[in-house]
Amino acid sequence: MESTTELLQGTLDLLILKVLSLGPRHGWDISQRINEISEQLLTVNQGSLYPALHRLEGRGFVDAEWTMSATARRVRSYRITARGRQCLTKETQVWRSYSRAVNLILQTR
Amino acid sequence: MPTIREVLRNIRLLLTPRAVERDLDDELRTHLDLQTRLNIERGMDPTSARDQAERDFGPIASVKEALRNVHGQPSAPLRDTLGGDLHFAIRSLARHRVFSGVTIFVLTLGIAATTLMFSVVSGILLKPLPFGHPEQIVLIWGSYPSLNLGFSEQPLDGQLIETLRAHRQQFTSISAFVSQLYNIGSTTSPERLNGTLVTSEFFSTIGVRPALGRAFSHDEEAPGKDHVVVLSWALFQRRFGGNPSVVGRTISLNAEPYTIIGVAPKGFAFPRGAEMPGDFQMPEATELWVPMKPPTNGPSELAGIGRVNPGVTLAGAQADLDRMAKLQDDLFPKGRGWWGSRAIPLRTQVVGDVSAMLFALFGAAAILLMIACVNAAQLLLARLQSRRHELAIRAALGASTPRIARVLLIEAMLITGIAGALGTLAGVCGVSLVRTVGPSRLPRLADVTFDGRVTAVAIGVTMIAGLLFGLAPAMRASRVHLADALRQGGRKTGGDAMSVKLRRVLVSAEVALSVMLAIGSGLLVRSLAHELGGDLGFSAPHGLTFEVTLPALRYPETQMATSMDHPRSVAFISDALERIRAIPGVKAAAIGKPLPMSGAQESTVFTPDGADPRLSDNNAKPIVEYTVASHDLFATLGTPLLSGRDFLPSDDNATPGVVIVNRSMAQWLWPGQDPIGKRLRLGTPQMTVPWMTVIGETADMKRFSLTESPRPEMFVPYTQNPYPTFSTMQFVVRSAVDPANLVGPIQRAVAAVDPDIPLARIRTIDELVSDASANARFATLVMSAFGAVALVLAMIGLYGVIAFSVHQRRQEFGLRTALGATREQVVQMVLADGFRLAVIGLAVGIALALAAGGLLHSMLYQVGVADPITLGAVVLLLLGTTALACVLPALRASGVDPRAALDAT
Repeated sequence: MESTTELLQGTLDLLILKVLSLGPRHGWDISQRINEISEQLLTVNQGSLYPALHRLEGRGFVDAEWTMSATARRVRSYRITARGRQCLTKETQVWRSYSRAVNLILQTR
Repeated sequence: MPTIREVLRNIRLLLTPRAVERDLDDELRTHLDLQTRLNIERGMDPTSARDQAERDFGPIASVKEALRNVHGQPSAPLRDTLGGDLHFAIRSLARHRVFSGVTIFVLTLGIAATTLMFSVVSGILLKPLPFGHPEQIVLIWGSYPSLNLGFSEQPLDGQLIETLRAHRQQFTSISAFVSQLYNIGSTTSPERLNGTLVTSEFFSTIGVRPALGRAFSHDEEAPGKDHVVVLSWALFQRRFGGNPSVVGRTISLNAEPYTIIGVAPKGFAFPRGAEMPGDFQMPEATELWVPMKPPTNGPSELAGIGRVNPGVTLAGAQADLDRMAKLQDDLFPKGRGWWGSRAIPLRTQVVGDVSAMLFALFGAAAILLMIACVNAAQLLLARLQSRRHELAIRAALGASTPRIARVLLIEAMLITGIAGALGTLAGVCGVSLVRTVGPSRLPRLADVTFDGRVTAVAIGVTMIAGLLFGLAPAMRASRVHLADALRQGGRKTGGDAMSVKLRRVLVSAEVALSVMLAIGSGLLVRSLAHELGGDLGFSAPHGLTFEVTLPALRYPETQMATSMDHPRSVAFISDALERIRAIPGVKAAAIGKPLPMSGAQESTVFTPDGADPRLSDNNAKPIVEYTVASHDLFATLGTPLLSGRDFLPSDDNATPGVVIVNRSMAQWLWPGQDPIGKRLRLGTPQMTVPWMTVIGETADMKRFSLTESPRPEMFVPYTQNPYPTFSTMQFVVRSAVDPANLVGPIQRAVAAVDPDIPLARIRTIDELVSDASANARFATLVMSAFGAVALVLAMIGLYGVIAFSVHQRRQEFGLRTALGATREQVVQMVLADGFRLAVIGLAVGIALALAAGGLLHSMLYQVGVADPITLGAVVLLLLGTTALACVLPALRASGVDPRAALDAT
């Protein structure tokens, strides 16, 4: 598992929200999904993942509850809230324009 | 904006940090487990799979540390911090004994008052009545809507009861009952017992099964078979030692043999006097029940009780009664229009008019608790101000804001916990006090206990109080800014502007609430003064009253249309009166049935001589109070005879019938005329019984309560065969000496006439009067106590705020003095400050009191809710106490030495 890219803090929040917008997941699952979808380019540092999840929970963007996983294990499952979706939409746009701006600058000859 | 969820989470975090910690551990362990499994699936052996997972994860400790930072918790080990904080809080409370003591005391008062009043309200108003399906039970009273005599419950006619029992459709059963007194036992130990005659379905109607033996069967209503008795549990224990073998035994009641067939369950004593309309002569508690067939000839004192079919509403029950009234009109056309009856739910009947009083007192207790909480919050805020320095240092050393808030909350909870325990204890004592010294006319007093529900409420109240007065300071504390606090702390002035403002608002609120209570108690005191100071129409400072019961077997009576022949009873009475009058110290003796304030009432229909247009209308039924009297009754009671003459022993069956009327009756029937010589007779116009001539007019007497308005009343001599039965006769004796010394001689005098007749209900006139005002005095006493405590608390709060403000402005005062301000000016400044707070509270309090006045309205007698005298007195009282609370701080302010003040800068 190559550690390739360090994530910016705000970016991790955005990725978590995006993954959760596809359905509720527990922490480990979230990190796996990010890893898979990014074709192993992004690896989430666990030391940032859980604080980020709790921070999002504290701000009301995600909900957490103890549930049983498919493998009958007690897991803390996270789910995106309506506020979280709003934030996701907004932050996605911000990200898009930001990355476009960065790309434009980098492409400048 | 924090969401509710966040608030809840933070509270959980505050209160149970360890559970949160456990959650974190669990979550992280799950992660590691899952990663380990994945690694195994990828072909690693378990040990290295785990190692790899942990390596990937990074140091767990630092992750947890990061998580804690998210939650704003201190990095110190979380384990045991709750214990540590508790320890710290206890130490801190112990160090500030005065503060802790005062706060605990204040809260204890509030909690004790609230739990006590809730116990009373719960026992009397909320607890279900101890009968089967009590919601189905109604009391049934005679009702003559056209008649407006100021009392709503009339006895039922025996004939009507039989119709109701036979033709009911919406009722499962209907039963009648009437009070009957019995002398039990022999010449050696005669004792009078409170009995109730009931129709056979009484026990099934009220939904109570005898604890031993059985209830009555229908054929036991028949004369000859009706000599059976069910004992109350209390009588069974007291007189028969609780021996179950008494069932089946024969006892002597009113000198006749009765067989005990059952014992009622513990606590059952229906009907109880305090729970029934006062006009009916119900015993304080029923001690035995005897079956009867409802008497169908002549007037009766029957009350009805019915159980409606499941699901039938009160309106349905009433409709059924109305239907049967029409049926009875057809069956007995002679009494057309007299067969109405009215259903009243049992609970309404039993609790009666005290519910308004109890809710008012409960409200007062709740206000007192609010004041106590505000006061405690005050004290805590004040302490917080002086602790800012300490808290700032704690913050600087790494305690996070939630942690500091938690310590403050724990302190608050600790204080309320202690106060709650003490208050509950005081509440328990209060409950037993109320049960022993509570007013005898308070219904269901026996049901007032300190039950689990009350405990739960007490604890709830305590917790809410703790949160209420602990949260404000805790929230203030969370905004302590280190730099500010340290800067100010060095100068010891303390107190940020917000806290000061908050305290001033709290003090004004306290004043407002206490003004409410002061006005409430002022109104009750004024009302009570009116009650006690009013003219009763009688006055007998050394009056003694007692009752005797004359058993029918030895004192037979014959009933006629509107009269009753009872020669043996008349002989007994005149003989007894003669012997009593001969006792040294006795000034006068008489009988009166019923005596005023004895809890009994008798009324009669009459027909005046000559056409009275107001009475010709078929709807206007002339009913007046009716009292059987002897010679000297008015002299003994001290009731003025306004004109005419008193009854004489010579007014007997050989002479024409005579009657004395009171002023109200004379003015009602013969306005502007001399009543003497007018004629009237008992019964309806259709009944042709002999006329009676009015020979005297007396002043109006209060018969039943101190607040009633006078009712028309007539008196007839006991020597002219008046109805009703003389089976119970009330005597009154006026003496020159302490009436207690007369009981023995009177007992001997009565025994000389008939040794089997015991004296019962020996009471002085003063006691009867004081019983009649018992509920009012109870309410006034409780409300005044609450009001006084509230006022003291408010003044403590005011003193605290002003004293603190003076302390804070010391330099300013010093400077002013240095610049030439006189002492008077400084004193004035401080007083003005205090009075501003008090006057705001006063205005708000008066407005609130006027708004809430409706609660008290029904308890007030001749006093309006906006009574100017009460309001004036409260204003003066408050201004006076305000001056008292502010004068010490003001003097201190004026005494500030300018040099000292300037030095301190």
